[in-house]
Amino acid sequence: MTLHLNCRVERGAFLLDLDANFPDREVTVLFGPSGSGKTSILRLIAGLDREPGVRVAFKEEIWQDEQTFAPPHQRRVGYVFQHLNLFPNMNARQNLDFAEQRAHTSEGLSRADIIEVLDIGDLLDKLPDQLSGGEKQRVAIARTLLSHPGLMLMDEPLGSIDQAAKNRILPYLQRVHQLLDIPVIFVSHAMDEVLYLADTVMEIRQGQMIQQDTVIGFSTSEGAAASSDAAAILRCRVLELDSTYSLTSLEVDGQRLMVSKAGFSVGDQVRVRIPARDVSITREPARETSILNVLECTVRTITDPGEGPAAMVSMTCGRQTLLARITRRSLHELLLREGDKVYAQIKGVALMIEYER
Amino acid sequence: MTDPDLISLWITLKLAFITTVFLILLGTPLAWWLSRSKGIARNLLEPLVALPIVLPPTVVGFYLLIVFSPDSLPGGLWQSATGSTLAFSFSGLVVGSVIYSLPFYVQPLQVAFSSLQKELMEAAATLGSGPWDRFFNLAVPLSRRGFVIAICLAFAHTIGEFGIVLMIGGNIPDETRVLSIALFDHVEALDYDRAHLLAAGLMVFSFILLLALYSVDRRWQNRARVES
Repeated sequence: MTLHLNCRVERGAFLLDLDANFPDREVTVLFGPSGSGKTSILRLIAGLDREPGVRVAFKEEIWQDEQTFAPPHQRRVGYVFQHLNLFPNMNARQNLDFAEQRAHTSEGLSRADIIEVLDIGDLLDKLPDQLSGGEKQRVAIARTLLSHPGLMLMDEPLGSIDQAAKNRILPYLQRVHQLLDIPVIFVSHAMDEVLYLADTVMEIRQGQMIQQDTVIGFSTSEGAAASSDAAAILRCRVLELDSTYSLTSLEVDGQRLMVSKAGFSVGDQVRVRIPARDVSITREPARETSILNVLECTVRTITDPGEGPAAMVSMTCGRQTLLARITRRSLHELLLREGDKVYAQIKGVALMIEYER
Repeated sequence: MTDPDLISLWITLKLAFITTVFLILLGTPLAWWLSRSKGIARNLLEPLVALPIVLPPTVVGFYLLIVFSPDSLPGGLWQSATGSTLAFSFSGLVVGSVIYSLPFYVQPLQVAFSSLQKELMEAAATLGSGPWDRFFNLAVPLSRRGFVIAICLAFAHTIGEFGIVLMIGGNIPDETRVLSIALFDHVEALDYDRAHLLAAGLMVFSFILLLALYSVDRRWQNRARVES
Protein backbone atom coordinates (compact mmCIF):
# COMPACT_ATOMS: atom_id res chain seq x y z
CA MET A 1 0.00 0.00 0.00
CA THR A 2 1.47 3.30 -1.04
CA LEU A 3 -1.12 5.96 -0.49
CA HIS A 4 -4.26 5.42 1.47
CA LEU A 5 -7.04 7.97 1.83
CA ASN A 6 -10.03 7.49 4.02
CA CYS A 7 -12.42 10.38 4.39
CA ARG A 8 -15.93 11.24 5.36
CA VAL A 9 -16.32 14.97 4.93
CA GLU A 10 -19.60 16.83 4.87
CA ARG A 11 -19.83 20.21 3.22
CA GLY A 12 -23.39 21.38 3.36
CA ALA A 13 -25.37 18.93 1.25
CA PHE A 14 -22.24 17.45 -0.33
CA LEU A 15 -20.72 14.35 1.22
CA LEU A 16 -17.30 13.10 0.25
CA ASP A 17 -17.15 9.51 1.39
CA LEU A 18 -14.20 7.54 0.18
CA ASP A 19 -11.80 4.78 1.08
CA ALA A 20 -9.14 4.49 -1.57
CA ASN A 21 -5.79 2.81 -2.06
CA PHE A 22 -3.60 4.27 -4.74
CA PRO A 23 -1.06 1.99 -6.45
CA ASP A 24 2.64 2.83 -6.50
CA ARG A 25 4.50 3.89 -9.67
CA GLU A 26 1.33 4.15 -11.66
CA VAL A 27 -0.88 6.85 -13.00
CA THR A 28 -4.26 6.77 -11.31
CA VAL A 29 -6.83 8.97 -12.99
CA LEU A 30 -9.69 10.28 -10.89
CA PHE A 31 -12.37 10.51 -13.51
CA GLY A 32 -15.77 12.10 -13.13
CA PRO A 33 -17.92 15.13 -13.93
CA SER A 34 -17.25 18.60 -12.52
CA GLY A 35 -18.38 18.95 -8.92
CA SER A 36 -18.01 15.24 -8.16
CA GLY A 37 -15.29 15.90 -5.56
CA LYS A 38 -12.14 15.04 -7.52
CA THR A 39 -10.28 18.24 -6.66
CA SER A 40 -11.36 17.97 -3.01
CA ILE A 41 -9.71 14.55 -2.88
CA LEU A 42 -6.41 15.96 -4.14
CA ARG A 43 -6.59 18.88 -1.71
CA LEU A 44 -7.16 16.55 1.22
CA ILE A 45 -4.20 14.41 0.17
CA ALA A 46 -1.98 17.49 -0.14
CA GLY A 47 -3.18 18.95 3.17
CA LEU A 48 -4.43 22.15 1.54
CA ASP A 49 -7.80 21.68 3.24
CA ARG A 50 -7.98 20.64 6.83
CA GLU A 51 -11.12 18.72 7.73
CA PRO A 52 -11.99 16.31 10.52
CA GLY A 53 -12.77 12.72 9.57
CA VAL A 54 -9.82 12.39 7.22
CA ARG A 55 -7.01 9.87 7.35
CA VAL A 56 -4.11 10.08 4.92
CA ALA A 57 -1.16 7.69 5.04
CA PHE A 58 1.74 7.66 2.61
CA LYS A 59 4.06 4.66 2.84
CA GLU A 60 5.02 4.48 6.53
CA GLU A 61 4.08 8.07 7.30
CA ILE A 62 0.75 9.16 8.72
CA TRP A 63 0.03 12.54 7.25
CA GLN A 64 -3.33 13.02 8.83
CA ASP A 65 -5.60 11.28 11.31
CA GLU A 66 -7.51 12.27 14.44
CA GLN A 67 -4.33 13.41 16.22
CA THR A 68 -1.94 14.32 13.43
CA PHE A 69 -1.94 16.94 10.74
CA ALA A 70 1.16 17.43 8.63
CA PRO A 71 1.03 20.81 6.82
CA PRO A 72 1.42 20.73 3.02
CA HIS A 73 5.08 21.74 2.98
CA GLN A 74 5.98 18.64 5.01
CA ARG A 75 4.03 16.16 2.87
CA ARG A 76 6.42 15.55 -0.06
CA VAL A 77 3.65 16.08 -2.57
CA GLY A 78 4.05 17.72 -5.92
CA TYR A 79 0.89 19.52 -6.98
CA VAL A 80 0.16 20.77 -10.48
CA PHE A 81 -2.82 23.08 -10.27
CA GLN A 82 -5.59 23.58 -12.77
CA HIS A 83 -5.07 27.32 -12.83
CA LEU A 84 -1.51 27.80 -13.79
CA ASN A 85 0.05 29.45 -10.80
CA LEU A 86 3.60 30.22 -11.63
CA PHE A 87 4.93 33.03 -9.45
CA PRO A 88 4.29 36.10 -11.61
CA ASN A 89 7.22 38.10 -10.21
CA MET A 90 9.78 35.47 -11.22
CA ASN A 91 10.84 34.28 -14.66
CA ALA A 92 10.64 30.59 -15.53
CA ARG A 93 14.19 29.95 -14.33
CA GLN A 94 13.53 31.60 -10.97
CA ASN A 95 10.33 29.60 -10.61
CA LEU A 96 12.38 26.45 -11.08
CA ASP A 97 15.03 27.71 -8.64
CA PHE A 98 12.37 28.29 -6.00
CA ALA A 99 11.35 24.63 -6.20
CA GLU A 100 14.89 23.26 -6.46
CA GLN A 101 16.08 25.15 -3.37
CA ARG A 102 13.27 23.64 -1.33
CA ALA A 103 13.28 20.14 -2.84
CA HIS A 104 11.65 17.48 -0.64
CA THR A 105 14.53 15.04 -1.16
CA SER A 106 17.87 15.05 -2.93
CA GLU A 107 16.83 12.12 -5.12
CA GLY A 108 14.82 12.61 -8.24
CA LEU A 109 15.01 13.63 -11.85
CA SER A 110 17.85 16.00 -12.64
CA ARG A 111 17.20 19.58 -13.64
CA ALA A 112 18.75 19.02 -17.06
CA ASP A 113 16.55 15.98 -17.74
CA ILE A 114 13.40 17.77 -16.65
CA ILE A 115 14.16 20.78 -18.84
CA GLU A 116 14.86 18.50 -21.78
CA VAL A 117 11.84 16.23 -21.40
CA LEU A 118 9.45 19.16 -21.14
CA ASP A 119 11.34 21.11 -23.79
CA ILE A 120 11.42 24.39 -21.87
CA GLY A 121 15.09 25.31 -22.41
CA ASP A 122 14.13 28.32 -24.54
CA LEU A 123 11.52 29.60 -22.11
CA LEU A 124 13.68 30.01 -19.02
CA ASP A 125 14.25 33.76 -19.29
CA LYS A 126 10.59 34.57 -19.86
CA LEU A 127 8.12 35.79 -17.28
CA PRO A 128 4.94 33.73 -16.85
CA ASP A 129 2.88 36.44 -18.57
CA GLN A 130 5.01 36.06 -21.70
CA LEU A 131 4.26 32.33 -22.00
CA SER A 132 1.32 30.65 -23.73
CA GLY A 133 -1.03 28.46 -21.71
CA GLY A 134 0.66 25.24 -22.79
CA GLU A 135 4.13 26.66 -22.13
CA LYS A 136 3.10 27.83 -18.69
CA GLN A 137 1.80 24.40 -17.87
CA ARG A 138 5.04 22.74 -19.00
CA VAL A 139 7.05 25.11 -16.80
CA ALA A 140 4.65 24.47 -13.90
CA ILE A 141 5.07 20.71 -14.32
CA ALA A 142 8.85 21.12 -14.45
CA ARG A 143 8.73 23.22 -11.29
CA THR A 144 6.76 20.53 -9.50
CA LEU A 145 9.13 17.79 -10.67
CA LEU A 146 12.14 19.79 -9.46
CA SER A 147 10.79 19.69 -5.92
CA HIS A 148 11.41 15.93 -6.08
CA PRO A 149 8.04 14.85 -4.72
CA GLY A 150 7.26 11.39 -3.41
CA LEU A 151 3.80 11.67 -4.88
CA MET A 152 2.53 13.69 -7.82
CA LEU A 153 -0.94 15.26 -7.80
CA MET A 154 -2.21 16.79 -11.03
CA ASP A 155 -5.50 18.67 -10.97
CA GLU A 156 -6.81 18.90 -14.53
CA PRO A 157 -3.54 20.41 -15.72
CA LEU A 158 -4.90 20.44 -19.26
CA GLY A 159 -8.28 21.89 -18.31
CA SER A 160 -7.46 25.52 -19.00
CA ILE A 161 -5.70 25.17 -22.35
CA ASP A 162 -7.18 24.66 -25.82
CA GLN A 163 -7.41 21.31 -27.59
CA ALA A 164 -4.49 21.97 -29.95
CA ALA A 165 -2.18 22.86 -27.06
CA LYS A 166 -3.50 19.86 -25.16
CA ASN A 167 -2.63 17.51 -28.00
CA ARG A 168 0.88 18.91 -28.00
CA ILE A 169 1.36 18.56 -24.26
CA LEU A 170 -0.10 15.05 -23.79
CA PRO A 171 3.02 13.32 -25.17
CA TYR A 172 5.16 15.38 -22.76
CA LEU A 173 3.02 14.20 -19.87
CA GLN A 174 3.38 10.65 -21.02
CA ARG A 175 7.14 10.95 -21.17
CA VAL A 176 7.20 12.45 -17.70
CA HIS A 177 5.08 9.62 -16.34
CA GLN A 178 7.41 7.06 -17.90
CA LEU A 179 10.41 8.65 -16.19
CA LEU A 180 8.79 8.87 -12.77
CA ASP A 181 8.72 5.92 -10.45
CA ILE A 182 6.32 7.54 -7.98
CA PRO A 183 2.53 7.39 -7.82
CA VAL A 184 0.77 9.96 -9.94
CA ILE A 185 -2.83 10.96 -9.29
CA PHE A 186 -4.34 12.80 -12.19
CA VAL A 187 -7.75 14.46 -12.08
CA SER A 188 -9.68 14.65 -15.32
CA HIS A 189 -13.15 14.78 -16.75
CA ALA A 190 -11.95 14.21 -20.33
CA MET A 191 -12.15 10.65 -21.66
CA ASP A 192 -9.27 11.16 -24.13
CA GLU A 193 -6.91 12.13 -21.28
CA VAL A 194 -7.98 9.11 -19.25
CA LEU A 195 -7.37 6.64 -22.06
CA TYR A 196 -4.13 8.33 -22.99
CA LEU A 197 -2.51 8.55 -19.59
CA ALA A 198 -4.13 6.23 -17.07
CA ASP A 199 -2.94 2.92 -15.69
CA THR A 200 -5.74 2.75 -13.15
CA VAL A 201 -9.03 4.62 -13.29
CA MET A 202 -11.15 5.57 -10.30
CA GLU A 203 -14.51 6.86 -11.35
CA ILE A 204 -15.91 9.45 -8.93
CA ARG A 205 -19.57 10.45 -8.78
CA GLN A 206 -21.09 12.75 -6.16
CA GLY A 207 -18.29 12.28 -3.68
CA GLN A 208 -18.13 8.48 -3.97
CA MET A 209 -15.95 6.09 -5.91
CA ILE A 210 -18.24 4.02 -8.10
CA GLN A 211 -15.60 2.09 -10.01
CA GLN A 212 -11.92 1.24 -9.77
CA ASP A 213 -10.35 -0.67 -12.63
CA THR A 214 -7.33 -0.86 -14.87
CA VAL A 215 -7.59 1.44 -17.85
CA ILE A 216 -8.03 -1.61 -20.08
CA GLY A 217 -11.02 -2.79 -18.10
CA PHE A 218 -12.35 0.74 -17.73
CA SER A 219 -12.08 1.57 -21.44
CA THR A 220 -14.61 -1.10 -22.38
CA SER A 221 -16.88 -0.69 -19.38
CA GLU A 222 -20.41 0.43 -20.09
CA GLY A 223 -19.97 4.00 -18.92
CA ALA A 224 -16.76 4.63 -20.82
CA ALA A 225 -18.05 2.97 -23.99
CA ALA A 226 -20.96 5.41 -24.04
CA SER A 227 -18.60 8.37 -24.44
CA SER A 228 -18.07 9.77 -27.92
CA ASP A 229 -14.33 9.47 -27.24
CA ALA A 230 -14.66 5.78 -26.37
CA ALA A 231 -11.66 3.69 -27.29
CA ALA A 232 -10.40 0.22 -26.50
CA ILE A 233 -6.92 -0.45 -25.28
CA LEU A 234 -5.19 -3.65 -26.34
CA ARG A 235 -2.00 -5.18 -25.03
CA CYS A 236 0.35 -6.27 -27.79
CA ARG A 237 3.83 -7.63 -28.33
CA VAL A 238 6.21 -6.42 -31.03
CA LEU A 239 6.66 -9.23 -33.58
CA GLU A 240 8.83 -7.77 -36.29
CA LEU A 241 10.06 -4.51 -37.74
CA ASP A 242 9.49 -3.99 -41.47
CA SER A 243 11.92 -1.39 -42.76
CA THR A 244 10.70 -1.62 -46.41
CA TYR A 245 7.31 -0.13 -45.54
CA SER A 246 8.31 1.49 -42.26
CA LEU A 247 5.83 -0.61 -40.36
CA THR A 248 5.90 -2.48 -37.08
CA SER A 249 3.99 -5.75 -36.69
CA LEU A 250 2.32 -6.41 -33.37
CA GLU A 251 0.76 -9.56 -32.05
CA VAL A 252 -2.62 -9.32 -30.32
CA ASP A 253 -3.55 -12.69 -28.83
CA GLY A 254 -2.47 -14.61 -31.95
CA GLN A 255 -3.55 -12.03 -34.52
CA ARG A 256 -1.54 -9.36 -36.23
CA LEU A 257 -1.71 -5.57 -36.19
CA MET A 258 0.51 -3.22 -38.16
CA VAL A 259 1.40 0.28 -37.05
CA SER A 260 3.75 2.96 -38.25
CA LYS A 261 7.30 2.34 -37.28
CA ALA A 262 8.25 3.58 -33.86
CA GLY A 263 11.30 3.10 -31.70
CA PHE A 264 10.54 -0.42 -30.57
CA SER A 265 12.53 -3.64 -30.36
CA VAL A 266 11.16 -7.08 -31.14
CA GLY A 267 9.56 -8.52 -28.01
CA ASP A 268 8.57 -5.17 -26.45
CA GLN A 269 5.22 -5.11 -24.68
CA VAL A 270 3.15 -2.19 -25.90
CA ARG A 271 -0.39 -0.88 -25.66
CA VAL A 272 -2.42 0.43 -28.52
CA ARG A 273 -5.45 2.61 -28.27
CA ILE A 274 -8.14 2.06 -30.85
CA PRO A 275 -10.91 4.66 -30.89
CA ALA A 276 -14.32 3.02 -31.39
CA ARG A 277 -15.20 5.44 -34.20
CA ASP A 278 -12.25 4.17 -36.24
CA VAL A 279 -13.47 0.56 -36.22
CA SER A 280 -15.94 -0.82 -38.77
CA ILE A 281 -17.44 -4.32 -38.94
CA THR A 282 -17.82 -6.80 -41.82
CA ARG A 283 -19.31 -10.28 -41.95
CA GLU A 284 -16.73 -11.57 -44.46
CA PRO A 285 -13.04 -10.72 -44.56
CA ALA A 286 -12.74 -8.00 -47.20
CA ARG A 287 -10.45 -8.67 -50.14
CA GLU A 288 -8.37 -6.05 -51.93
CA THR A 289 -8.85 -3.36 -49.37
CA SER A 290 -6.47 -0.61 -48.33
CA ILE A 291 -7.18 -1.34 -44.72
CA LEU A 292 -4.23 -3.21 -43.26
CA ASN A 293 -5.62 -4.20 -39.95
CA VAL A 294 -8.47 -6.66 -39.71
CA LEU A 295 -9.06 -8.62 -36.51
CA GLU A 296 -11.31 -11.63 -36.20
CA CYS A 297 -13.64 -11.06 -33.25
CA THR A 298 -16.78 -12.30 -31.59
CA VAL A 299 -19.59 -9.90 -30.80
CA ARG A 300 -19.98 -9.75 -27.05
CA THR A 301 -22.54 -7.04 -26.42
CA ILE A 302 -24.50 -4.65 -28.58
CA THR A 303 -25.62 -1.34 -27.10
CA ASP A 304 -28.39 0.10 -29.25
CA PRO A 305 -29.77 3.29 -27.67
CA GLY A 306 -32.95 2.94 -29.79
CA GLU A 307 -32.57 6.49 -31.16
CA GLY A 308 -29.92 8.64 -32.77
CA PRO A 309 -27.54 7.42 -35.45
CA ALA A 310 -24.94 5.40 -33.55
CA ALA A 311 -24.72 2.09 -31.70
CA MET A 312 -21.78 0.56 -29.82
CA VAL A 313 -20.58 -2.96 -30.44
CA SER A 314 -18.23 -4.56 -27.97
CA MET A 315 -16.27 -7.54 -29.31
CA THR A 316 -13.87 -10.04 -27.84
CA CYS A 317 -10.63 -10.56 -29.66
CA GLY A 318 -8.75 -13.36 -27.96
CA ARG A 319 -8.92 -12.41 -24.31
CA GLN A 320 -9.19 -8.72 -25.07
CA THR A 321 -12.00 -6.35 -25.92
CA LEU A 322 -12.46 -4.11 -28.94
CA LEU A 323 -15.10 -1.43 -29.40
CA ALA A 324 -16.79 -0.35 -32.63
CA ARG A 325 -19.11 2.61 -33.02
CA ILE A 326 -21.26 1.89 -36.05
CA THR A 327 -24.50 3.32 -37.32
CA ARG A 328 -27.73 1.75 -36.11
CA ARG A 329 -28.68 1.29 -39.72
CA SER A 330 -25.59 -0.87 -40.35
CA LEU A 331 -26.31 -2.77 -37.18
CA HIS A 332 -29.77 -3.71 -38.51
CA GLU A 333 -28.64 -4.43 -42.09
CA LEU A 334 -25.87 -6.73 -40.88
CA LEU A 335 -28.39 -8.45 -38.57
CA LEU A 336 -25.72 -8.53 -35.88
CA ARG A 337 -26.41 -10.70 -32.85
CA GLU A 338 -24.37 -11.33 -29.77
CA GLY A 339 -22.03 -14.30 -30.31
CA ASP A 340 -21.63 -13.66 -34.07
CA LYS A 341 -18.21 -14.00 -35.61
CA VAL A 342 -17.21 -10.76 -37.37
CA TYR A 343 -14.19 -8.97 -38.83
CA ALA A 344 -13.22 -5.63 -37.29
CA GLN A 345 -11.52 -3.30 -39.75
CA ILE A 346 -9.28 -0.74 -38.15
CA LYS A 347 -8.04 2.35 -39.94
CA GLY A 348 -4.27 2.14 -39.56
CA VAL A 349 -3.77 5.74 -38.76
CA ALA A 350 -5.99 5.52 -35.70
CA LEU A 351 -3.57 3.39 -33.75
CA MET A 352 -1.74 5.09 -30.94
CA ILE A 353 1.18 3.48 -29.29
CA GLU A 354 1.90 3.58 -25.63
CA TYR A 355 4.79 1.93 -23.92
CA GLU A 356 3.87 -0.67 -21.39
CA ARG A 357 5.47 0.18 -18.10
CA MET B 1 23.03 73.04 14.90
CA THR B 2 21.96 76.17 16.65
CA ASP B 3 18.99 77.33 14.64
CA PRO B 4 15.95 76.07 16.57
CA ASP B 5 14.12 75.36 13.30
CA LEU B 6 16.93 73.08 12.16
CA ILE B 7 16.73 71.25 15.47
CA SER B 8 12.97 70.92 14.96
CA LEU B 9 13.64 69.55 11.48
CA TRP B 10 16.04 67.00 12.92
CA ILE B 11 13.57 65.95 15.65
CA THR B 12 10.81 65.63 13.06
CA LEU B 13 12.84 63.46 10.71
CA LYS B 14 14.11 61.33 13.59
CA LEU B 15 10.57 60.89 14.87
CA ALA B 16 9.23 59.97 11.43
CA PHE B 17 12.06 57.52 10.81
CA ILE B 18 11.82 55.75 14.17
CA THR B 19 8.03 55.66 13.97
CA THR B 20 8.19 54.10 10.49
CA VAL B 21 10.63 51.45 11.70
CA PHE B 22 8.29 50.54 14.56
CA LEU B 23 5.34 50.50 12.17
CA ILE B 24 7.14 48.10 9.83
CA LEU B 25 7.88 45.79 12.75
CA LEU B 26 4.43 45.97 14.36
CA GLY B 27 2.13 46.92 11.51
CA THR B 28 3.32 44.28 9.02
CA PRO B 29 2.32 41.26 11.13
CA LEU B 30 -0.88 43.09 12.10
CA ALA B 31 -1.78 43.75 8.45
CA TRP B 32 -0.99 40.11 7.60
CA TRP B 33 -3.17 38.85 10.43
CA LEU B 34 -6.05 41.17 9.49
CA SER B 35 -5.84 40.01 5.87
CA ARG B 36 -5.80 36.29 6.73
CA SER B 37 -8.04 35.70 9.72
CA LYS B 38 -11.74 35.71 10.35
CA GLY B 39 -13.72 35.95 13.54
CA ILE B 40 -14.68 38.32 16.30
CA ALA B 41 -11.17 39.38 17.38
CA ARG B 42 -10.33 40.41 13.85
CA ASN B 43 -13.64 42.18 13.32
CA LEU B 44 -13.12 44.21 16.49
CA LEU B 45 -9.48 45.01 15.87
CA GLU B 46 -9.95 46.25 12.32
CA PRO B 47 -12.09 49.30 13.26
CA LEU B 48 -9.92 49.89 16.31
CA VAL B 49 -6.85 50.24 14.08
CA ALA B 50 -8.76 52.62 11.81
CA LEU B 51 -10.02 54.77 14.69
CA PRO B 52 -7.24 57.43 14.47
CA ILE B 53 -8.41 58.26 10.93
CA VAL B 54 -11.77 59.54 12.14
CA LEU B 55 -11.00 60.72 15.68
CA PRO B 56 -9.73 64.24 16.33
CA PRO B 57 -6.03 63.88 17.21
CA THR B 58 -6.72 65.64 20.48
CA VAL B 59 -8.98 62.78 21.60
CA VAL B 60 -6.24 60.22 21.02
CA GLY B 61 -3.74 62.58 22.63
CA PHE B 62 -5.91 63.10 25.67
CA TYR B 63 -6.25 59.40 26.38
CA LEU B 64 -2.57 58.77 25.70
CA LEU B 65 -1.74 61.52 28.19
CA ILE B 66 -3.79 59.70 30.80
CA VAL B 67 -2.16 56.35 30.00
CA PHE B 68 1.29 57.96 30.07
CA SER B 69 0.74 59.42 33.55
CA PRO B 70 2.92 57.79 36.22
CA ASP B 71 -0.31 57.05 38.14
CA SER B 72 -1.50 54.64 35.44
CA LEU B 73 -0.07 51.16 35.07
CA PRO B 74 1.75 51.60 31.70
CA GLY B 75 3.06 55.03 32.68
CA GLY B 76 4.17 53.75 36.09
CA LEU B 77 5.94 50.75 34.59
CA TRP B 78 7.71 52.99 32.12
CA GLN B 79 8.83 55.36 34.89
CA SER B 80 10.16 52.57 37.11
CA ALA B 81 11.99 51.05 34.14
CA THR B 82 13.54 54.22 32.71
CA GLY B 83 13.38 56.76 35.52
CA SER B 84 11.55 59.35 33.41
CA THR B 85 7.98 60.00 32.41
CA LEU B 86 6.62 59.02 29.04
CA ALA B 87 4.56 62.16 28.66
CA PHE B 88 6.41 65.20 27.34
CA SER B 89 9.32 63.06 26.13
CA PHE B 90 10.56 62.03 22.71
CA SER B 91 9.80 58.38 23.55
CA GLY B 92 6.22 59.38 24.30
CA LEU B 93 6.02 61.06 20.91
CA VAL B 94 7.17 57.87 19.24
CA VAL B 95 4.48 55.84 21.02
CA GLY B 96 1.82 58.37 20.08
CA SER B 97 2.97 58.58 16.47
CA VAL B 98 3.01 54.82 16.05
CA ILE B 99 -0.59 54.60 17.25
CA TYR B 100 -1.74 57.58 15.27
CA SER B 101 -0.04 56.56 12.01
CA LEU B 102 -0.90 52.88 12.35
CA PRO B 103 -3.92 52.88 10.00
CA PHE B 104 -1.97 54.75 7.34
CA TYR B 105 0.58 51.95 7.34
CA VAL B 106 -1.69 48.96 7.95
CA GLN B 107 -4.49 49.68 5.51
CA PRO B 108 -2.56 49.82 2.21
CA LEU B 109 -0.57 46.79 3.27
CA GLN B 110 -3.68 44.89 4.29
CA VAL B 111 -5.16 45.58 0.85
CA ALA B 112 -1.98 44.30 -0.80
CA PHE B 113 -1.92 41.15 1.34
CA SER B 114 -5.61 40.48 0.73
CA SER B 115 -5.15 40.63 -3.01
CA LEU B 116 -2.42 37.99 -2.97
CA GLN B 117 -3.70 34.93 -4.79
CA LYS B 118 -4.31 32.10 -2.37
CA GLU B 119 -3.30 29.60 -5.04
CA LEU B 120 0.20 31.06 -5.27
CA MET B 121 0.76 30.53 -1.56
CA GLU B 122 -0.64 27.01 -1.85
CA ALA B 123 1.66 26.25 -4.76
CA ALA B 124 4.62 27.42 -2.70
CA ALA B 125 3.51 25.26 0.24
CA THR B 126 3.37 22.13 -1.90
CA LEU B 127 6.86 22.99 -3.17
CA GLY B 128 8.10 22.57 0.38
CA SER B 129 7.99 26.20 1.45
CA GLY B 130 7.02 26.75 5.11
CA PRO B 131 4.94 29.67 6.41
CA TRP B 132 7.88 32.06 7.17
CA ASP B 133 9.59 31.23 3.92
CA ARG B 134 6.35 31.83 2.01
CA PHE B 135 5.87 35.17 3.73
CA PHE B 136 9.35 36.59 3.19
CA ASN B 137 10.16 35.09 -0.19
CA LEU B 138 6.78 35.25 -1.89
CA ALA B 139 4.23 37.46 -0.10
CA VAL B 140 6.64 40.35 0.55
CA PRO B 141 8.05 40.58 -2.99
CA LEU B 142 4.56 40.28 -4.47
CA SER B 143 3.32 43.05 -2.16
CA ARG B 144 6.20 45.48 -2.78
CA ARG B 145 3.84 48.13 -4.13
CA GLY B 146 1.76 47.97 -0.96
CA PHE B 147 4.90 48.28 1.15
CA VAL B 148 6.12 51.38 -0.68
CA ILE B 149 2.74 53.10 -0.37
CA ALA B 150 2.41 52.12 3.30
CA ILE B 151 5.90 53.32 4.23
CA CYS B 152 5.55 56.63 2.38
CA LEU B 153 2.14 57.35 3.89
CA ALA B 154 3.27 56.47 7.41
CA PHE B 155 6.41 58.59 7.10
CA ALA B 156 4.64 61.60 5.61
CA HIS B 157 1.77 61.39 8.03
CA THR B 158 4.13 61.34 11.02
CA ILE B 159 5.92 64.41 9.71
CA GLY B 160 2.67 66.31 9.37
CA GLU B 161 1.08 65.47 12.70
CA PHE B 162 0.24 68.27 15.06
CA GLY B 163 -2.61 67.81 17.50
CA ILE B 164 -1.45 64.66 19.18
CA VAL B 165 2.11 65.97 19.52
CA LEU B 166 0.87 69.09 21.19
CA MET B 167 -1.21 67.05 23.65
CA ILE B 168 1.39 64.49 24.72
CA GLY B 169 4.69 66.09 23.77
CA GLY B 170 4.11 69.66 24.68
CA ASN B 171 6.38 72.09 22.98
CA ILE B 172 9.80 71.47 24.48
CA PRO B 173 12.66 72.88 22.40
CA ASP B 174 15.38 70.34 21.54
CA GLU B 175 13.15 67.51 22.75
CA THR B 176 9.63 67.43 21.37
CA ARG B 177 9.21 70.55 19.26
CA VAL B 178 8.57 69.18 15.78
CA LEU B 179 8.22 71.27 12.61
CA SER B 180 4.46 71.56 12.63
CA ILE B 181 4.58 72.98 16.15
CA ALA B 182 7.47 75.29 15.37
CA LEU B 183 5.36 76.61 12.50
CA PHE B 184 2.46 77.19 14.88
CA ASP B 185 4.78 79.10 17.23
CA HIS B 186 6.05 81.34 14.43
CA VAL B 187 2.52 82.17 13.39
CA GLU B 188 1.53 82.97 16.96
CA ALA B 189 4.58 85.23 17.26
CA LEU B 190 3.59 86.85 13.95
CA ASP B 191 6.97 85.82 12.52
CA TYR B 192 5.55 85.17 9.06
CA ASP B 193 8.93 84.98 7.32
CA ARG B 194 10.02 81.93 9.29
CA ALA B 195 6.50 80.50 9.12
CA HIS B 196 6.63 80.76 5.33
CA LEU B 197 9.95 78.99 5.25
CA LEU B 198 8.67 76.02 7.26
CA ALA B 199 5.25 75.87 5.59
CA ALA B 200 6.70 76.02 2.10
CA GLY B 201 9.37 73.51 3.04
CA LEU B 202 6.83 71.03 4.32
CA MET B 203 4.66 71.54 1.28
CA VAL B 204 7.52 71.01 -1.17
CA PHE B 205 8.68 67.95 0.74
CA SER B 206 5.21 66.40 0.73
CA PHE B 207 4.75 67.17 -2.94
CA ILE B 208 8.07 65.57 -3.88
CA LEU B 209 7.29 62.50 -1.80
CA LEU B 210 3.91 62.02 -3.47
CA LEU B 211 5.40 62.71 -6.89
CA ALA B 212 7.99 59.99 -6.32
CA LEU B 213 5.34 57.62 -4.98
CA TYR B 214 3.03 58.05 -7.96
CA SER B 215 5.83 57.74 -10.50
CA VAL B 216 7.12 54.52 -8.92
CA ASP B 217 3.58 53.22 -8.87
CA ARG B 218 3.05 54.15 -12.52
CA ARG B 219 6.27 52.48 -13.55
CA TRP B 220 5.34 49.23 -11.81
CA GLN B 221 1.90 49.29 -13.35
CA ASN B 222 3.39 49.87 -16.79
CA ARG B 223 5.78 47.03 -16.28
CA ALA B 224 2.92 44.81 -15.18
CA ARG B 225 1.11 45.74 -18.37
CA VAL B 226 4.14 44.95 -20.53
CA GLU B 227 4.46 41.64 -18.77
CA SER B 228 0.87 40.67 -19.46
